[in-house]
Amino acid sequence: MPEARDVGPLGRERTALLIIDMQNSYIDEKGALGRMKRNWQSLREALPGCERLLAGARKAGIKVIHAKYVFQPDYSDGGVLIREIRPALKEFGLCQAGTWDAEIVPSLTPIAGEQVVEKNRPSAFYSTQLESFLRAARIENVVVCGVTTNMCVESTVRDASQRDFRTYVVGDACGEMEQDRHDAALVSMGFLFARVVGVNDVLDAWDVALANA
Amino acid sequence: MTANLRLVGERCALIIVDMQNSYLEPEGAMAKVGLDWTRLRAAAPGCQRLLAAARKAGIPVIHTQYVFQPDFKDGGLLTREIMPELKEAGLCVKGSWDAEFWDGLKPLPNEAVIEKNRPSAFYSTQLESFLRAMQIENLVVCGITTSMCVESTVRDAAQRDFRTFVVRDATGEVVQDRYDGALKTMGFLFAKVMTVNEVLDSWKVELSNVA
Repeated sequence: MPEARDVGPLGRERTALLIIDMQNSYIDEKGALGRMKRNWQSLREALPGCERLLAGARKAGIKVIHAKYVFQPDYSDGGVLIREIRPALKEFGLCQAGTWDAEIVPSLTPIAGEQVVEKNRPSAFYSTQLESFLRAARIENVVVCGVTTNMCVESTVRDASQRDFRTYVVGDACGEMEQDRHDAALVSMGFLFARVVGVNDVLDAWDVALANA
Repeated sequence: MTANLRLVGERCALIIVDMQNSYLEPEGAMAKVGLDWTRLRAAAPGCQRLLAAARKAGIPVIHTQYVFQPDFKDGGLLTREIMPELKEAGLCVKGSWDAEFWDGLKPLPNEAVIEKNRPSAFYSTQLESFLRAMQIENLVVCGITTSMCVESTVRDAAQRDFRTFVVRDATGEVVQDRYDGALKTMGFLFAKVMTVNEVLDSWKVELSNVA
Protein backbone atom coordinates (compact mmCIF):
# COMPACT_ATOMS: atom_id res chain seq x y z
CA MET A 1 0.00 0.00 0.00
CA PRO A 2 1.70 3.24 -1.10
CA GLU A 3 1.93 6.09 1.33
CA ALA A 4 -0.96 8.55 1.21
CA ARG A 5 -0.11 11.68 -0.75
CA ASP A 6 -1.09 15.24 -0.09
CA VAL A 7 -4.07 16.12 -2.24
CA GLY A 8 -4.24 19.79 -1.26
CA PRO A 9 -7.74 21.23 -1.53
CA LEU A 10 -9.18 18.31 -3.52
CA GLY A 11 -12.67 17.32 -2.40
CA ARG A 12 -16.07 16.80 -3.98
CA GLU A 13 -16.65 20.50 -4.60
CA ARG A 14 -16.02 21.92 -8.08
CA THR A 15 -14.29 18.71 -9.11
CA ALA A 16 -14.51 16.63 -12.27
CA LEU A 17 -13.11 13.23 -13.24
CA LEU A 18 -11.67 13.10 -16.75
CA ILE A 19 -11.13 9.61 -18.17
CA ILE A 20 -8.91 9.64 -21.25
CA ASP A 21 -9.29 7.29 -24.23
CA MET A 22 -10.22 4.05 -22.45
CA GLN A 23 -11.35 2.51 -25.73
CA ASN A 24 -11.21 -0.96 -27.28
CA SER A 25 -8.50 0.27 -29.63
CA TYR A 26 -6.06 0.58 -26.76
CA ILE A 27 -7.37 -1.71 -24.05
CA ASP A 28 -8.69 -4.83 -25.78
CA GLU A 29 -6.59 -7.57 -27.31
CA LYS A 30 -8.64 -7.36 -30.52
CA GLY A 31 -8.22 -3.58 -30.72
CA ALA A 32 -5.95 -1.75 -33.13
CA LEU A 33 -2.90 -1.79 -30.87
CA GLY A 34 -3.32 -5.52 -30.24
CA ARG A 35 -3.60 -6.15 -33.96
CA MET A 36 -0.45 -4.07 -34.46
CA LYS A 37 1.29 -6.31 -31.88
CA ARG A 38 1.91 -3.31 -29.65
CA ASN A 39 1.90 -3.55 -25.88
CA TRP A 40 -1.82 -3.04 -25.19
CA GLN A 41 -1.46 -5.10 -22.00
CA SER A 42 0.38 -2.27 -20.26
CA LEU A 43 -2.43 0.08 -21.18
CA ARG A 44 -5.02 -2.32 -19.80
CA GLU A 45 -3.27 -2.06 -16.43
CA ALA A 46 -4.95 1.34 -16.10
CA LEU A 47 -8.40 -0.25 -16.19
CA PRO A 48 -8.93 -1.35 -12.55
CA GLY A 49 -7.90 2.09 -11.30
CA CYS A 50 -10.19 3.84 -13.78
CA GLU A 51 -13.07 1.54 -12.77
CA ARG A 52 -12.59 2.41 -9.10
CA LEU A 53 -12.36 6.14 -9.82
CA LEU A 54 -15.49 6.00 -11.96
CA ALA A 55 -17.42 4.08 -9.30
CA GLY A 56 -16.17 6.55 -6.69
CA ALA A 57 -17.13 9.58 -8.73
CA ARG A 58 -20.61 8.20 -9.38
CA LYS A 59 -21.11 7.46 -5.70
CA ALA A 60 -19.86 10.91 -4.67
CA GLY A 61 -21.87 12.74 -7.34
CA ILE A 62 -18.77 14.07 -9.08
CA LYS A 63 -19.02 15.15 -12.68
CA VAL A 64 -17.54 12.60 -15.10
CA ILE A 65 -16.19 13.36 -18.56
CA HIS A 66 -15.02 10.67 -20.96
CA ALA A 67 -12.59 11.72 -23.69
CA LYS A 68 -12.68 9.58 -26.77
CA TYR A 69 -10.15 9.52 -29.64
CA VAL A 70 -12.14 9.27 -32.90
CA PHE A 71 -11.04 9.67 -36.53
CA GLN A 72 -13.38 10.09 -39.47
CA PRO A 73 -13.92 6.84 -41.44
CA ASP A 74 -11.57 8.03 -44.21
CA TYR A 75 -9.09 9.61 -41.76
CA SER A 76 -9.51 12.93 -43.53
CA ASP A 77 -9.06 14.58 -40.12
CA GLY A 78 -5.92 12.62 -39.23
CA GLY A 79 -3.46 15.29 -40.33
CA VAL A 80 0.31 14.93 -40.28
CA LEU A 81 0.12 12.13 -37.68
CA ILE A 82 -1.79 9.76 -39.96
CA ARG A 83 -0.41 11.02 -43.26
CA GLU A 84 3.28 11.12 -42.42
CA ILE A 85 4.22 10.04 -38.91
CA ARG A 86 2.20 6.86 -38.34
CA PRO A 87 0.26 5.74 -41.43
CA ALA A 88 -0.04 2.28 -39.84
CA LEU A 89 -2.68 3.63 -37.44
CA LYS A 90 -4.96 4.14 -40.41
CA GLU A 91 -4.18 0.74 -41.90
CA PHE A 92 -5.16 -0.91 -38.63
CA GLY A 93 -8.30 1.18 -38.23
CA LEU A 94 -7.34 2.89 -34.96
CA CYS A 95 -10.34 4.62 -33.40
CA GLN A 96 -12.28 4.81 -36.63
CA ALA A 97 -15.64 6.51 -36.21
CA GLY A 98 -18.57 4.15 -35.87
CA THR A 99 -16.50 1.02 -35.24
CA TRP A 100 -16.25 -1.25 -32.21
CA ASP A 101 -12.59 -0.23 -32.04
CA ALA A 102 -13.48 3.35 -31.15
CA GLU A 103 -15.99 2.42 -28.43
CA ILE A 104 -15.23 2.96 -24.77
CA VAL A 105 -14.53 -0.36 -23.01
CA PRO A 106 -17.70 -1.98 -21.58
CA SER A 107 -16.80 -1.58 -17.90
CA LEU A 108 -16.41 2.19 -18.31
CA THR A 109 -19.35 2.84 -20.62
CA PRO A 110 -20.71 6.34 -19.98
CA ILE A 111 -24.14 6.60 -18.39
CA ALA A 112 -26.75 9.35 -18.78
CA GLY A 113 -25.49 12.61 -17.37
CA GLU A 114 -21.85 11.91 -18.17
CA GLN A 115 -20.24 13.96 -20.89
CA VAL A 116 -18.39 12.39 -23.82
CA VAL A 117 -15.83 14.59 -25.57
CA GLU A 118 -14.70 13.37 -28.96
CA LYS A 119 -11.24 14.48 -30.03
CA ASN A 120 -8.94 13.78 -32.96
CA ARG A 121 -5.73 15.08 -31.42
CA PRO A 122 -3.78 14.13 -28.28
CA SER A 123 -5.05 16.89 -25.99
CA ALA A 124 -8.70 16.64 -24.97
CA PHE A 125 -8.73 20.46 -24.85
CA TYR A 126 -7.66 21.05 -28.45
CA SER A 127 -10.55 21.76 -30.85
CA THR A 128 -13.13 20.34 -28.44
CA GLN A 129 -15.82 21.65 -26.12
CA LEU A 130 -14.09 20.33 -23.01
CA GLU A 131 -13.09 23.70 -21.61
CA SER A 132 -16.55 25.19 -22.03
CA PHE A 133 -18.10 22.14 -20.31
CA LEU A 134 -15.74 22.55 -17.36
CA ARG A 135 -16.20 26.32 -17.10
CA ALA A 136 -19.98 26.06 -17.37
CA ALA A 137 -19.97 23.56 -14.50
CA ARG A 138 -17.63 25.87 -12.54
CA ILE A 139 -15.06 23.11 -12.20
CA GLU A 140 -11.74 24.07 -10.59
CA ASN A 141 -10.21 20.67 -9.87
CA VAL A 142 -9.66 18.08 -12.57
CA VAL A 143 -8.70 14.48 -11.78
CA VAL A 144 -7.21 12.78 -14.84
CA CYS A 145 -6.76 9.07 -15.57
CA GLY A 146 -6.62 6.80 -18.61
CA VAL A 147 -4.23 6.21 -21.50
CA THR A 148 -1.61 6.78 -22.56
CA THR A 149 0.28 8.42 -19.70
CA ASN A 150 2.92 10.10 -21.83
CA MET A 151 0.81 10.99 -24.86
CA CYS A 152 -2.87 11.94 -24.50
CA VAL A 153 -2.94 12.04 -20.70
CA GLU A 154 0.12 14.29 -20.48
CA SER A 155 -0.97 16.59 -23.32
CA THR A 156 -4.35 16.97 -21.61
CA VAL A 157 -2.80 17.54 -18.18
CA ARG A 158 -0.46 20.23 -19.55
CA ASP A 159 -3.43 21.95 -21.17
CA ALA A 160 -5.60 21.70 -18.05
CA SER A 161 -2.84 23.16 -15.93
CA GLN A 162 -2.09 26.14 -18.15
CA ARG A 163 -5.83 26.87 -18.18
CA ASP A 164 -5.55 27.14 -14.37
CA PHE A 165 -7.45 24.03 -13.45
CA ARG A 166 -5.97 22.46 -10.31
CA THR A 167 -4.89 19.23 -11.92
CA TYR A 168 -4.39 15.77 -10.42
CA VAL A 169 -3.01 12.85 -12.41
CA VAL A 170 -3.71 9.42 -10.95
CA GLY A 171 -0.56 7.39 -11.55
CA ASP A 172 -2.06 3.96 -10.83
CA ALA A 173 -5.04 4.64 -13.09
CA CYS A 174 -2.88 5.53 -16.12
CA GLY A 175 -1.03 3.28 -18.53
CA GLU A 176 1.75 3.59 -21.07
CA MET A 177 3.29 1.05 -23.42
CA GLU A 178 6.78 1.45 -21.98
CA GLN A 179 7.59 1.80 -18.32
CA ASP A 180 10.27 4.47 -18.87
CA ARG A 181 7.87 6.81 -20.66
CA HIS A 182 5.22 6.20 -18.00
CA ASP A 183 7.71 7.13 -15.29
CA ALA A 184 9.14 10.12 -17.18
CA ALA A 185 5.66 11.45 -17.87
CA LEU A 186 4.76 11.39 -14.18
CA VAL A 187 8.01 13.20 -13.35
CA SER A 188 7.34 15.91 -15.97
CA MET A 189 3.73 16.37 -14.97
CA GLY A 190 4.63 16.40 -11.28
CA PHE A 191 7.31 19.04 -11.76
CA LEU A 192 5.06 21.86 -12.86
CA PHE A 193 1.65 20.81 -14.09
CA ALA A 194 -0.14 18.45 -11.71
CA ARG A 195 -0.09 16.64 -8.42
CA VAL A 196 0.66 12.97 -8.97
CA VAL A 197 -1.65 10.96 -6.71
CA GLY A 198 -3.02 7.43 -6.33
CA VAL A 199 -6.56 6.08 -6.66
CA ASN A 200 -6.86 5.68 -2.88
CA ASP A 201 -5.79 9.29 -2.28
CA VAL A 202 -8.56 10.49 -4.57
CA LEU A 203 -11.22 8.24 -3.04
CA ASP A 204 -10.20 9.42 0.42
CA ALA A 205 -10.42 13.05 -0.69
CA TRP A 206 -13.89 12.37 -2.05
CA ASP A 207 -14.75 10.58 1.19
CA VAL A 208 -15.95 7.53 -0.69
CA ALA A 209 -15.72 3.95 0.53
CA LEU A 210 -16.09 1.30 -2.17
CA ALA A 211 -17.07 -2.28 -1.45
CA ASN A 212 -14.36 -4.68 -2.65
CA ALA A 213 -12.00 -1.81 -3.23
CA MET B 1 7.61 7.28 -37.24
CA THR B 2 8.59 10.88 -36.63
CA ALA B 3 11.77 9.97 -38.55
CA ASN B 4 9.52 10.09 -41.65
CA LEU B 5 9.27 13.86 -41.34
CA ARG B 6 11.49 15.64 -43.83
CA LEU B 7 12.75 19.15 -43.15
CA VAL B 8 13.07 21.64 -45.98
CA GLY B 9 13.72 25.36 -46.00
CA GLU B 10 10.49 26.22 -47.80
CA ARG B 11 7.47 27.24 -45.71
CA CYS B 12 9.68 26.87 -42.66
CA ALA B 13 10.06 29.00 -39.53
CA LEU B 14 12.45 28.92 -36.58
CA ILE B 15 10.94 29.28 -33.10
CA ILE B 16 13.34 30.16 -30.30
CA VAL B 17 11.68 29.49 -26.95
CA ASP B 18 12.33 31.68 -23.89
CA MET B 19 16.05 32.45 -24.25
CA GLN B 20 15.89 35.18 -21.59
CA ASN B 21 18.17 36.45 -18.83
CA SER B 22 15.90 34.80 -16.27
CA TYR B 23 16.99 31.37 -17.39
CA LEU B 24 20.48 31.99 -18.77
CA GLU B 25 22.27 34.35 -16.40
CA PRO B 26 23.69 33.74 -12.92
CA GLU B 27 21.69 36.74 -11.67
CA GLY B 28 18.46 35.46 -13.23
CA ALA B 29 15.42 34.09 -11.41
CA MET B 30 16.22 30.43 -12.13
CA ALA B 31 19.49 30.74 -10.23
CA LYS B 32 17.64 32.51 -7.41
CA VAL B 33 15.28 29.57 -6.93
CA GLY B 34 18.21 27.17 -6.97
CA LEU B 35 17.72 25.57 -10.37
CA ASP B 36 20.72 24.69 -12.54
CA TRP B 37 20.72 27.58 -15.05
CA THR B 38 24.09 26.44 -16.47
CA ARG B 39 22.33 23.53 -18.15
CA LEU B 40 19.96 26.02 -19.79
CA ARG B 41 22.84 28.22 -20.90
CA ALA B 42 24.23 25.16 -22.68
CA ALA B 43 21.46 25.62 -25.27
CA ALA B 44 22.73 29.06 -26.27
CA PRO B 45 25.48 28.19 -28.80
CA GLY B 46 23.14 25.92 -30.74
CA CYS B 47 20.40 28.56 -30.76
CA GLN B 48 22.90 31.16 -31.96
CA ARG B 49 23.95 28.97 -34.88
CA LEU B 50 20.34 28.27 -35.83
CA LEU B 51 19.49 31.97 -35.62
CA ALA B 52 22.47 32.96 -37.79
CA ALA B 53 21.58 30.28 -40.32
CA ALA B 54 17.90 31.25 -40.45
CA ARG B 55 18.84 34.87 -41.05
CA LYS B 56 21.24 33.84 -43.80
CA ALA B 57 18.66 31.57 -45.45
CA GLY B 58 15.81 34.05 -45.12
CA ILE B 59 13.82 31.75 -42.87
CA PRO B 60 11.34 33.61 -40.63
CA VAL B 61 12.33 33.72 -36.97
CA ILE B 62 9.95 33.90 -34.02
CA HIS B 63 11.19 34.58 -30.50
CA THR B 64 8.95 33.59 -27.61
CA GLN B 65 9.23 35.43 -24.33
CA TYR B 66 7.80 34.32 -20.99
CA VAL B 67 6.43 37.50 -19.37
CA PHE B 68 4.36 38.00 -16.23
CA GLN B 69 2.61 41.19 -15.19
CA PRO B 70 4.50 43.03 -12.42
CA ASP B 71 2.04 41.91 -9.74
CA PHE B 72 1.79 38.37 -11.20
CA LYS B 73 -1.97 38.72 -11.49
CA ASP B 74 -1.73 36.67 -14.67
CA GLY B 75 0.39 33.97 -13.02
CA GLY B 76 -2.53 31.73 -12.13
CA LEU B 77 -2.08 28.51 -10.21
CA LEU B 78 1.59 28.28 -11.15
CA THR B 79 2.72 31.33 -9.19
CA ARG B 80 -0.14 31.23 -6.65
CA GLU B 81 0.03 27.58 -5.58
CA ILE B 82 2.49 25.41 -7.47
CA MET B 83 5.75 27.40 -7.34
CA PRO B 84 5.15 30.67 -5.46
CA GLU B 85 8.93 31.01 -5.17
CA LEU B 86 8.98 32.04 -8.84
CA LYS B 87 7.07 35.14 -7.87
CA GLU B 88 9.43 35.85 -4.98
CA ALA B 89 12.34 35.57 -7.41
CA GLY B 90 10.67 37.99 -9.83
CA LEU B 91 10.69 35.52 -12.71
CA CYS B 92 10.23 37.20 -16.09
CA VAL B 93 8.49 40.29 -14.75
CA LYS B 94 7.41 42.56 -17.59
CA GLY B 95 9.83 45.42 -18.09
CA SER B 96 12.59 43.92 -15.96
CA TRP B 97 16.10 42.88 -16.99
CA ASP B 98 15.12 39.34 -15.98
CA ALA B 99 12.50 39.13 -18.74
CA GLU B 100 14.73 40.55 -21.48
CA PHE B 101 16.15 38.42 -24.24
CA TRP B 102 19.67 37.25 -23.57
CA ASP B 103 22.32 39.41 -25.24
CA GLY B 104 23.51 36.79 -27.72
CA LEU B 105 20.00 36.19 -29.11
CA LYS B 106 18.31 39.58 -29.41
CA PRO B 107 15.53 39.76 -32.00
CA LEU B 108 15.96 41.97 -35.05
CA PRO B 109 13.18 44.46 -35.80
CA ASN B 110 11.75 42.25 -38.55
CA GLU B 111 11.51 39.18 -36.31
CA ALA B 112 8.29 38.40 -34.48
CA VAL B 113 8.24 38.37 -30.69
CA ILE B 114 5.47 36.37 -29.01
CA GLU B 115 4.87 37.14 -25.36
CA LYS B 116 3.31 34.32 -23.38
CA ASN B 117 2.43 33.69 -19.75
CA ARG B 118 1.94 29.94 -19.93
CA PRO B 119 4.25 27.09 -20.98
CA SER B 120 2.95 26.61 -24.51
CA ALA B 121 3.74 29.42 -26.95
CA PHE B 122 0.46 28.57 -28.69
CA TYR B 123 -1.81 29.07 -25.68
CA SER B 124 -3.52 32.48 -25.57
CA THR B 125 -1.05 34.01 -28.03
CA GLN B 126 -1.00 35.11 -31.66
CA LEU B 127 1.60 32.52 -32.64
CA GLU B 128 -0.73 30.33 -34.68
CA SER B 129 -2.18 33.23 -36.67
CA PHE B 130 1.35 34.51 -37.43
CA LEU B 131 2.37 31.10 -38.73
CA ARG B 132 -0.80 30.55 -40.77
CA ALA B 133 -0.54 34.05 -42.25
CA MET B 134 3.00 33.25 -43.42
CA GLN B 135 1.81 29.88 -44.77
CA ILE B 136 4.32 28.07 -42.59
CA GLU B 137 4.13 24.26 -42.58
CA ASN B 138 7.47 23.30 -41.03
CA LEU B 139 8.63 24.41 -37.61
CA VAL B 140 12.10 24.13 -36.16
CA VAL B 141 11.98 24.55 -32.37
CA CYS B 142 14.88 25.29 -30.04
CA GLY B 143 15.37 26.99 -26.67
CA ILE B 144 14.38 26.15 -23.11
CA THR B 145 13.37 24.32 -21.12
CA THR B 146 13.26 21.04 -23.01
CA SER B 147 10.61 19.25 -20.94
CA MET B 148 8.53 22.29 -20.02
CA CYS B 149 7.98 25.16 -22.49
CA VAL B 150 9.71 23.52 -25.45
CA GLU B 151 7.79 20.27 -25.09
CA SER B 152 4.44 21.98 -24.47
CA THR B 153 5.02 24.12 -27.56
CA VAL B 154 6.09 21.12 -29.65
CA ARG B 155 3.04 19.11 -28.57
CA ASP B 156 0.81 21.99 -29.57
CA ALA B 157 2.58 22.54 -32.89
CA ALA B 158 2.24 18.87 -33.79
CA GLN B 159 -1.46 18.63 -33.04
CA ARG B 160 -1.98 21.76 -35.14
CA ASP B 161 -0.44 19.81 -38.05
CA PHE B 162 2.81 21.67 -38.33
CA ARG B 163 5.62 19.34 -39.35
CA THR B 164 7.74 19.83 -36.22
CA PHE B 165 11.47 19.45 -35.66
CA VAL B 166 13.13 19.84 -32.26
CA VAL B 167 16.85 20.48 -32.12
CA ARG B 168 18.58 18.29 -29.55
CA ASP B 169 21.77 20.36 -29.15
CA ALA B 170 19.97 23.71 -29.10
CA THR B 171 17.76 23.01 -26.12
CA GLY B 172 18.42 22.67 -22.38
CA GLU B 173 16.79 21.42 -19.18
CA VAL B 174 17.76 21.86 -15.53
CA VAL B 175 18.05 18.11 -14.93
CA GLN B 176 19.37 15.45 -17.30
CA ASP B 177 16.56 12.90 -16.82
CA ARG B 178 13.83 15.31 -17.89
CA TYR B 179 15.95 16.41 -20.86
CA ASP B 180 16.32 12.80 -22.01
CA GLY B 181 12.69 11.96 -21.26
CA ALA B 182 11.39 14.98 -23.16
CA LEU B 183 13.39 14.21 -26.31
CA LYS B 184 12.21 10.61 -26.23
CA THR B 185 8.59 11.72 -25.74
CA MET B 186 8.69 14.30 -28.51
CA GLY B 187 10.42 11.88 -30.86
CA PHE B 188 7.79 9.20 -30.21
CA LEU B 189 4.85 11.02 -31.77
CA PHE B 190 5.23 14.78 -32.00
CA ALA B 191 8.48 15.84 -33.65
CA LYS B 192 11.58 14.62 -35.38
CA VAL B 193 14.62 15.09 -33.15
CA MET B 194 17.51 16.64 -35.09
CA THR B 195 20.90 18.24 -34.52
CA VAL B 196 21.89 21.80 -35.42
CA ASN B 197 24.12 20.50 -38.22
CA GLU B 198 21.31 18.43 -39.69
CA VAL B 199 19.02 21.46 -39.70
CA LEU B 200 21.68 23.58 -41.42
CA ASP B 201 22.14 20.86 -44.04
CA SER B 202 18.38 20.71 -44.64
CA TRP B 203 18.31 24.48 -45.04
CA LYS B 204 21.38 24.27 -47.30
CA VAL B 205 23.21 26.85 -45.22
CA GLU B 206 26.90 26.90 -44.47
CA LEU B 207 28.17 29.01 -41.61
CA SER B 208 31.77 30.09 -41.20
CA ASN B 209 32.80 30.19 -37.55
CA VAL B 210 29.53 31.42 -36.18
CA ALA B 211 29.50 31.72 -32.41
